[in-house]
Amino acid sequence: MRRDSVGGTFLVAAVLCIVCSIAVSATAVLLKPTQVENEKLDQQKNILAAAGALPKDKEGKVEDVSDAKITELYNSVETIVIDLDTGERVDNREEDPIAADSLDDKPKMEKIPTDAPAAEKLGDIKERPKYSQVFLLKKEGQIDVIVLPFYGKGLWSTMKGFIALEGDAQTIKGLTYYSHGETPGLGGEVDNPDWKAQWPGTQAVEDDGKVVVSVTKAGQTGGIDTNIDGLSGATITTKGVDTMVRYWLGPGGFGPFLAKVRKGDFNG
Amino acid sequence: MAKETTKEILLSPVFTNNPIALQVLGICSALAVTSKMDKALTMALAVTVVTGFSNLSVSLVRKFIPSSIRIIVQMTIIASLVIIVDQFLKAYAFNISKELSVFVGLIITNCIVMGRAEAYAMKHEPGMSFLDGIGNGLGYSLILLIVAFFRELFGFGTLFGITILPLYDAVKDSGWYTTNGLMVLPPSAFFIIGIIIWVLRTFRPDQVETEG
Amino acid sequence: MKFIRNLLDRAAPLFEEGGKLERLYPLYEAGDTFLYTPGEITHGTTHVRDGLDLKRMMVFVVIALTPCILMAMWNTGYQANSAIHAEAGTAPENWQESLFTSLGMAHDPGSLLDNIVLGAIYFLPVYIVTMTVGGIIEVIFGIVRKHEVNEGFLVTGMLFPLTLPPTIPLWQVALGIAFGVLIGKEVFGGTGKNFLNPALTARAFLYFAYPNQITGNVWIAADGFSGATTLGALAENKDNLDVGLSQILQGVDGQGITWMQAFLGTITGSMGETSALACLLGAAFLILTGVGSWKIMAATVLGAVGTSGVFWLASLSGLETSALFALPPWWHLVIGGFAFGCVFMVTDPVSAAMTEKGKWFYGILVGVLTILIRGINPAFPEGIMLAILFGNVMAPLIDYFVIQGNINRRMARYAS
Repeated sequence: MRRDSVGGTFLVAAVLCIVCSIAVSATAVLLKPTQVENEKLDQQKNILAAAGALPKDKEGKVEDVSDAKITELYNSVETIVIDLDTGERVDNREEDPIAADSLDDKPKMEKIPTDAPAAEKLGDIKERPKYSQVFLLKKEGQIDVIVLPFYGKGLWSTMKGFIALEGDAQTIKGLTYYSHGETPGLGGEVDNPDWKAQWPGTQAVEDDGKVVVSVTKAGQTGGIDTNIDGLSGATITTKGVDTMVRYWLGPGGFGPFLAKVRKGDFNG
Repeated sequence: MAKETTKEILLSPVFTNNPIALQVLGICSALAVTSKMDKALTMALAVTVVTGFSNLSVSLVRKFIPSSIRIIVQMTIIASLVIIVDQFLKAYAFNISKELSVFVGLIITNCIVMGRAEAYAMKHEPGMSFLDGIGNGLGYSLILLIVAFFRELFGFGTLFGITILPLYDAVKDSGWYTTNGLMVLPPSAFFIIGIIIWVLRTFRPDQVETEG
Repeated sequence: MKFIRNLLDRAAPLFEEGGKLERLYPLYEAGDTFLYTPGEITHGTTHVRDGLDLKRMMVFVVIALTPCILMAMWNTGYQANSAIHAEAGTAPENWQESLFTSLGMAHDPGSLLDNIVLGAIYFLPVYIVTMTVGGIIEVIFGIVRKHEVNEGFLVTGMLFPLTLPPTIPLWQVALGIAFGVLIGKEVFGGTGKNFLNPALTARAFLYFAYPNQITGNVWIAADGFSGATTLGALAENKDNLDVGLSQILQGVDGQGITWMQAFLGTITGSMGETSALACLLGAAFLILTGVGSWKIMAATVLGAVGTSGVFWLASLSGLETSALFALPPWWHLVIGGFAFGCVFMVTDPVSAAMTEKGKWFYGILVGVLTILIRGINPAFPEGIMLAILFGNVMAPLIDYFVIQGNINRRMARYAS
């Protein structure tokens, strides 16, 4: 058969398609487990980083950690799923349990009420998921660190990260952003370790659930302990961080859950 | 055309006939992935591997490709190679592949790969085609690394993440360097490539296009 | 005067072809023609309409800038002195301050001399650095490319410092002007071949490279005092507009600023841009001498007033908009760098549109874009710089279409 004939053309096209698809799918299938493992490790590393659980060197910089070390450290982390409205745990309830894995694709969303006060709104974002994962680091049965996933709008992008609270569900332990598209050098400094270093130890929530932490304009903390110094030259990113921290720790976000933690519902 | 030696095929695209500096091909990715050396190096390797092997495979089957669908055939081969490379990066260089995000996938649209397959591999022996692909990949890599060198050095004060110019810190009163924010933004790659071309053509006036 | 002429003439053979210092001819030429009318006469069949050449034209621009320069020095001093006097900020610990006090001056915002001297101490170093660094690059290129050093640089070197905040580090000034002259001009072949305004290119470079030193609280040379520009304050208070303009726009004395203050220029901002009045004087001079195109200025104002007017009316009728859209058009003209850019930057004859009809399109484009960038873009409260650069890029295209349109009309006329 000549190569430029219709039959030849179809034959070559068919053979090529088969060969290429086999090559592509074979690699994809063979490498899939490693890739899934990588993604899991990456998330675990971010959670541990927010919780301040990664080993540090003398200067307080986070060291490079091996995959094995992450897995080992992550063994003490318990993942639960909560209902954001009530703050109750839902992954182990008898009726209709919500598995943690099921939240990865197409989580159930809820509208944020439009008439809510500004502090209970997530900026321009109109909805939030109904259920959320929460990561608990426990020590002798008591909650040591609570890591909460959170997100919100910055200047250009949606910033995603984890914020960690101490076992008292009031004091900030740390926070980390794993995905954002802010201006490098300005808003992009949200993942600068030096800037993040001022968070740990700050009181975020009072006993009655009132959010007291707030991120101010750069250089204008006024010496108040619950104020975090914003990023210089990045007014809007700073405002975004302020909004998202206050929203997710407040009654619209994890507030009900944190209240239950303070009552001791999640210990043991 | 006189028969080219192996060395010429491999090296001419790097210096005298550089795909970015002379032909101004494939600069889209040069903007996106050159903010840091490690990203640029990974991207450079990925493109070199893809151009090399796409040239090799296209050349191997060039006698069987019907001319009516040859572009589609080349595309399919290139696309498959790119996906394979992307999968490997995701599995073995996860952090960098996360930063490169879609740009690995976009190697498919890199004109250098397609251009070499059509212009060279369709007419030459597999061995030579492979070298031509690697050579062009290296030419691309060279520019990418030069751009990334300046962008990372002046934009972050580091190279491969190692501090070269200590940053000024008002609190600790240490260091002296203030990062140049423009270098962090993609358009700076345009300036640097422009300057590279300016320098290159000052020394090799034969590369200057005549008007008209 | 005869003496200088003789001196120059005697030195001439050294620099002319075959002379010992032949390579340095551009330097000699620059000095000569700066002092005296050039000796060349036009050859060939050119039609000279008046005695204006590039050098004289540029000198006119520098003269037109004088009110802005004086205002820049006075206002820089006034803002800093007011802040320090009202104890809203403290005198910074730097060499400028030590020089100021060693001259026996005090921070009295009521004293003309105190203000001018303090302003000059901040302005002049920036100016000197600009002229030195830019001049050196200009001369090097003049020597290598064998072209004459151009007075165009006197204007660039004058405009650039005026667009900067007083607290800008001097090394950044040097880097900025080097970038502006190199990338904005010399890369394309020098004065007359640049399609961007070099002074604005330099400023844009600093704006993106070192945003911390050119945005935010850099406008007043006093420590611990945060004085955003009027535009910056408006952009920041986008969402709580109801508090009223006077609450958002706070002057250095803590009072709301009035339109008249913004017009006279006693507000914060880049050194030379604050006073719309000074710019207006400059505009009058440029238009009277025919150096600046009144069409471009008028078109830019028209574009800005039209766009901001539409948004203003929309916000009056209850449409939800941002603070900068709700700002009345007459405010837009006096705040930020609009007046300065409109008079001195947009009209740069090299980078503006050349055709008479094109000048209208070009000006309107810049005016419209300025307001759009001010109102919509969250990151850049000041729109005129980017709008002019964009207008510069579009100018050749505008000219092309205007010329094509003319050609087509004539073709149609002759065909019928």
